[in-house]
Amino acid sequence: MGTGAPRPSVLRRLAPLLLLLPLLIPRAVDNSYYVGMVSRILVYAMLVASLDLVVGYLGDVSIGHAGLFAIGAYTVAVLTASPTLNTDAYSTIQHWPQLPFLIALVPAIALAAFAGFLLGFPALRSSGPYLAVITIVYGLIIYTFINEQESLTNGTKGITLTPLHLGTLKLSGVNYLYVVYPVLVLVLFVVHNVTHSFWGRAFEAIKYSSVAAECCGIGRSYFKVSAFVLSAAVAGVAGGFFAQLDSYVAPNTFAYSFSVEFLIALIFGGVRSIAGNVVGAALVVVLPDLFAGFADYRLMVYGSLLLVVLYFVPEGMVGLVRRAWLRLRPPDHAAERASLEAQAAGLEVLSRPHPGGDAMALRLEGLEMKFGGLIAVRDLDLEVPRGAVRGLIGPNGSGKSTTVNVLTGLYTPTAGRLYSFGQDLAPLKTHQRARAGIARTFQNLQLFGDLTVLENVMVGLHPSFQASLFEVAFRLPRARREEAEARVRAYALLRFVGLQPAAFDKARNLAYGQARLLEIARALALSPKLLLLDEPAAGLTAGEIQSINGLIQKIKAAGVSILLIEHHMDMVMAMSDDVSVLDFGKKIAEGTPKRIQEDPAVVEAYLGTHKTSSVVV
Amino acid sequence: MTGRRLGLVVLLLAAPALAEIKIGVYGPFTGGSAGMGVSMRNGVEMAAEEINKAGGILGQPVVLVMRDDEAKNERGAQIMQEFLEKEKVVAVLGPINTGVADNSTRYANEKKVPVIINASAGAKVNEYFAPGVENYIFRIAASDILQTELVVREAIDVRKYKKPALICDDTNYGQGGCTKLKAALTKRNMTPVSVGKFKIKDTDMTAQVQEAKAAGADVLLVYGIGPELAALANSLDRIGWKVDMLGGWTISMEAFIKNAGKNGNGAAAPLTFIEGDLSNPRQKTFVETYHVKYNQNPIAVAVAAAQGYDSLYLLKAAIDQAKSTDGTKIKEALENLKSGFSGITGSYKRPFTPTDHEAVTELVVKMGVVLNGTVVPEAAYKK
Amino acid sequence: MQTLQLLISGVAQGMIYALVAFGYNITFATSKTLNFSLGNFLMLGGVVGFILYMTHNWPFFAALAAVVLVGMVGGAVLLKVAVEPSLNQRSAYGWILATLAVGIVLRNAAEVFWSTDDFKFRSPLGDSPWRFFGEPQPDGSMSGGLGVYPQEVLIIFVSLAIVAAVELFKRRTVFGKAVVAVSEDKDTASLMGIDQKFVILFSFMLSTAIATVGGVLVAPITLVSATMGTVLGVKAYSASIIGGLESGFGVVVGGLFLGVSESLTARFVSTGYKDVPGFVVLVLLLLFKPSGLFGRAAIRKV
Repeated sequence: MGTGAPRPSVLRRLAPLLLLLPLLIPRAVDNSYYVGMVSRILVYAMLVASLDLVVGYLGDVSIGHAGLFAIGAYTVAVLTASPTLNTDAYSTIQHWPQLPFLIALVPAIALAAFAGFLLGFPALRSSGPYLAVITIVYGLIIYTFINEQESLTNGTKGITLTPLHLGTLKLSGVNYLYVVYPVLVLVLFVVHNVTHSFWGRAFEAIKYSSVAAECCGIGRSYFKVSAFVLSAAVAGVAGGFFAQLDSYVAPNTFAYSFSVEFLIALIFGGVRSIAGNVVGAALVVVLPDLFAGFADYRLMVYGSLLLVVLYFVPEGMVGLVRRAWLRLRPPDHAAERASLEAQAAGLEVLSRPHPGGDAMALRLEGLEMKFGGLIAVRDLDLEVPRGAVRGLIGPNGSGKSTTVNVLTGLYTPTAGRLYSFGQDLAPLKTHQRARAGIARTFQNLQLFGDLTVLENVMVGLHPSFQASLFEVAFRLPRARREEAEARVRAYALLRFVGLQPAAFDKARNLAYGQARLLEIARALALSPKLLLLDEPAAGLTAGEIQSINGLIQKIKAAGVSILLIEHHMDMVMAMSDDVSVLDFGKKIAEGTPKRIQEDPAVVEAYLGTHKTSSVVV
Repeated sequence: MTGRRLGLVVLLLAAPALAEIKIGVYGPFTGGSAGMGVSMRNGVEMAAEEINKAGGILGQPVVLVMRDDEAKNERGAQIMQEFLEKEKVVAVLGPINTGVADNSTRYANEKKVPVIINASAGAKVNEYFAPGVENYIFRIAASDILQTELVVREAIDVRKYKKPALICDDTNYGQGGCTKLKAALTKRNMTPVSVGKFKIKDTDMTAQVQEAKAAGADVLLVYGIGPELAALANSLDRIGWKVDMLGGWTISMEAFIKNAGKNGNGAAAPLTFIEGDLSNPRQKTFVETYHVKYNQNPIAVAVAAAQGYDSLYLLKAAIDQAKSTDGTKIKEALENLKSGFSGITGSYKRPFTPTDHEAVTELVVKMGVVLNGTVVPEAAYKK
Repeated sequence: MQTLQLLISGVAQGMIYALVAFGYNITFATSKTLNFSLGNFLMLGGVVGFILYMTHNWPFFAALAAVVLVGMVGGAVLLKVAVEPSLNQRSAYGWILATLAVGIVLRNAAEVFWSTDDFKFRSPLGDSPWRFFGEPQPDGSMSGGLGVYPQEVLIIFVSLAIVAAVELFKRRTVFGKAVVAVSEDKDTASLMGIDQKFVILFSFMLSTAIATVGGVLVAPITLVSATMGTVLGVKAYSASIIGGLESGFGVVVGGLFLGVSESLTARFVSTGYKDVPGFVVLVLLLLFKPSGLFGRAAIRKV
């Protein structure tokens, strides 16, 4: 917020004090029922937040979080329970480690995180309804295991825990709030920090387009599995504290319906929002109490309420509040914009790359790409000299986009070699090629819709972040500094392409021409040595094409080598130093724009045998 | 149903704060085990209406605060806290599910509010007795310990079977029963020839009964609830194996009797109440009133209904004797009911003592046997 | 003989899964949404069928026709009330929540307006198993051997018939091809003059009608209750995923696999863990074939 406006800044500084307010609840509310409800909401809010990491940020629906939650709860229960409270003659537990609660939390979190790690792998391959089913059966398998391993878990009979205490001070009942609340604040603080950092942006980038995310240098597997691990760890914390909520755990709590209930809570409260998580958790706890008057009709009323809310506020309860808030106080980015303007003004966005090695920014030798029986590209040799613009043209289906996809590592070529500045690209995965300096734009726009324009560019800056997850989670200085620097740099890049007026808009609301510019800005954020422009002018007006032309010249002037794939011949001819022509996956011509325009093979490829003077050319 | 339920809500909201006796009733009224919960609730409700017609307890009307625990443990805990802290009930009746009971009765104990468990056979009751701990939990239902002992006695001592196989559901109730069946067998130096398991909503138990048969079993001891036990009986028919089946009171549920049909014939269980064997006029009135009031004949889960009905009268007897709604005084009165208690499940000379909170002993339990769509006392079956 | 009996049990159970699973496939094909209340629509069919056939003694086929009608109306209502709003709002999760909510309402409505108990649904073909290879007993009855319920045979045939009919319909009729076209590429299909909205409506009505018919079919085996669809809904979902959501044939394979693995595991491994092997195979299978056995792997296109 603005440095010039003193009032909000004072308020902001005092705001953290508000966080202490809930600690007064046990003093203010003389009813352990309501205080107990608050504690329950707090524990459940952690679970909802954990689910949000996977569902809201990563975009994978999980209906198995009850299993991860159960691992946390049961680890704590098994490790801390004492035989004195489980002494009926039928107890089947063999071991009583009787560890202190805080110590037991560590393996609880670790085990849950490990379970999340295992769940992350299928998530790399499957998505949507397929992944949802995996999460369901995953939860059911954990449930069955807990139910059946009687010597460890006491089976269906459940485990009674010794209520928490510190010396003679009871930490159960009303006092449990003092235990749970700081933990919730800490957990939500961490979740908030992670989701509002390059980590969170990576998650969301993967959600919208995992291909584009990888082309921004984001290791999809790493971040996806990490999101599951993180989510599971949080679920483990929540489970650990759930075990002490009633000081009793039994397997039937963690059934499929529990996962469903919390998925409903998350969506009802609103995804990607901590407030939404808390509201969703409150729903689970408070609604049965509020609706008690409906007696047996309760669930009908509940279901109908969900439908009505969904109809009017598809983004959940928090969406309702957000809308009202925005109407009351439209967002004002003036101060931030001014500050970014000032810092970005002197910044050189494209530092001239100094790659060593070979003089060729790109060299393809005998490239071949087959899909089953279809040969999309055959025996292609192509070179982009350092600092040059090479045009690549050809009719639809001639293999241009396939070539780009091979270059960025989305497809593995069936034959041939690829080098960039002498480096063999074959062993590099997509995100590693992005980090090696190969950036691209997409013919079919691949923007991250719910992120702002500025944040989209910041996704492109992903490889520049050095801070560890720990530093990010606790907002340590390096993480804060890098984030601030990245914002400025992203803003400078937007200025470079002329999109800074839209910096704070959601990417999904951009006009077509602006979206194309954003694609380029995001690609430039990688500080590329080689830029692959895949039909950057598709669908643009003549005026917009002019500005793209200007942009390409600026980029070239900064020393970036460019492979330009385009249908607009005037653009290709005007921009390229040399042009290669593909037809049916084969290179049919190569040379200066002038020579290409006169090449009969090219004309024939484009126009069949007809020969007209007013060729597109 | 609608009018009555809403009427009660109105009653609940309109009743003045002090001149009433609030009693919490909880159980599953929706979901898989709702059949038992609703029958129990109906029984309690009938008793409350009768009592109120007759002038209430201590001259004050009884108001029931009824909550659906959905058979979820954590809901049970929350509801119990609501009863104790928000509704400030005098006592609590219910629940059905063992886990719900074990996750909630503790709070009542801490708050010194009596709970009379009227259906859950596996819930902890006497287990709460410990040095320096006051126990406010009572039960008017045959505990699993009692039931399993009677089942094993019938199978081994009376019917002289040698090779029992156990098949139980995988819930807290079924597995608790299974463990206790094993313990009762151990007392007789026997072990089951096989132990099988099934899940709620399983409809085909071919594998389980095959396993028992392959192990050479000559009798099945089962623990589960009506619908799944019926599936078990039907699977016996499917593999063409005629074998005696004995189990807990849930064998008397309509869901078993109707769904097993002829395959259920001969299945036996220890019962506190047999709808088809009414010896005293109070039982007759109860059953006839129930049939009319809830338009249900026979009663879906008669045992739960009868125990629910009795639990409120039992509580009334204690409050009348204590002349107070104070939890401790009610507890003491319950432990020392001077005039005994005569209900529709039986006559109890001294239902509870300060060291035993189980009302039901083998004196009030009779073996009931399923015969052509109804339950009859064992003697009648043998004829 | 024992194993054969187990296989029969497993196959019957598996075909029940397959029938419901097919309901998931149909709506996924056209709208890329799954109806998470499908299990409860199955229950609706069972309950309505029970009320008409058992309580009011309607002829079986009249009751079945009424159930089909209820299913179709229900599907249309579900689409309009729950799915369409979130499709129109392009909300990614709305339909999940909405279909779950409809399921909650349906189940609770059955509990309140009908009953919380479990009831026997008389099979129109009789409730005694057909017995093969049994040994005659002194009292004239048969013992041992194989037992097969007539209803199970009916389930197997009707399920196969429904799957085959729908697949034929998709391949052989103009409207069926329109359905396929919408499932392949919505935008192109609508450019070609196919009324996309109508196709989706049709698919929802067909899907829920199959589920409600399934309810009547399985009721004699599973009993009728407000909660009869809950577990079935989840198992059927797994079955449809194993086969691959795009494949009608795959559904049958997925269902049979789950049913048979449950019944064999229960007998030869552990009754407590009977679901687990099927589930583990499901996870492993999806690791290698992310879109199920017969699902088409998507080529990453940009």
